[in-house]
Amino acid sequence: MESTKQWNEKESLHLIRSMVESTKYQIYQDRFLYFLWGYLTLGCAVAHYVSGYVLSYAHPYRVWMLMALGGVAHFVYLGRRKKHSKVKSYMGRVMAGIWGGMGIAIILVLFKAFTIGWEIAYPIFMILYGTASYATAMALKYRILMIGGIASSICGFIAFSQPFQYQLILLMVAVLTSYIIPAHLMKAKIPNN
Amino acid sequence: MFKALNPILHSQLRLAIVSLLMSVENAEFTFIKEKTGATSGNLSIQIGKLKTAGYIEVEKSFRDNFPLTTCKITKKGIQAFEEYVQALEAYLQVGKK
Repeated sequence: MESTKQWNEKESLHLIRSMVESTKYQIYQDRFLYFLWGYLTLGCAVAHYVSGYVLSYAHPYRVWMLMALGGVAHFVYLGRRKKHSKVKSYMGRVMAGIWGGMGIAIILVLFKAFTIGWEIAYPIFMILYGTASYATAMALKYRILMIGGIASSICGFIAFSQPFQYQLILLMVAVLTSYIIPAHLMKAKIPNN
Repeated sequence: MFKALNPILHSQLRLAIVSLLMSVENAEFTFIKEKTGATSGNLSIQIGKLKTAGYIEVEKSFRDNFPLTTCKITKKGIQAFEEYVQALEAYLQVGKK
């Protein structure tokens, strides 16, 4: 790009648009995190259901300890990404706020779950997943994630009146709709120029 | 009466730099170079001019023992950019008539 080339007003506007477009936050860059949490939660829910209600294992909930590994993988991944990041965007901060806030809320509910009961905590988790997905979808205009967010929140709402066994199935549906399916459908945007 | 287009911004590369910085909090030199396709030398000169005009802030630091240059738009830069876009729109409106 030259600095002194003669050019007209239309070209100026086109240049501004193309530069702004090139810095737009792409949800595709977060695809790994959606896969990580989506498949990990789905896997734990399936394992809990099968071991608890099919194999009648005495401590099926122990499988959820694997989620801590997800937390470690999450922070290692973000640490590496931050190291290689050349730009700090406003939308990046919005995303960090939405998902960081959801993470804090989940941890607080997790601690309280021992007293309020897990059959109350699980529906809250689903509603929190749904809320964060919906907020992200609205900010980034990603319709599939918006539908997934609403579906996850509805799953949470229904789960309040269901026995724990069915709550696990609803949780599987919630992560499929709000994490896994939207992540599979995310596409990388290729710049026009 | 037309407002004259700001000569500091009415340059392809300087406008590209400011446009990029308008949509992010801050950006590294290598990021701007990658997006604009400019050479390091030319980019350094234009960043220097924008800094002298008070449109951007330039911070020099180190990362992993390598020099790191980070640029950020200033309030003055935002105002100049907005006025430039308004002036451009005025020109284009007249062009349509």
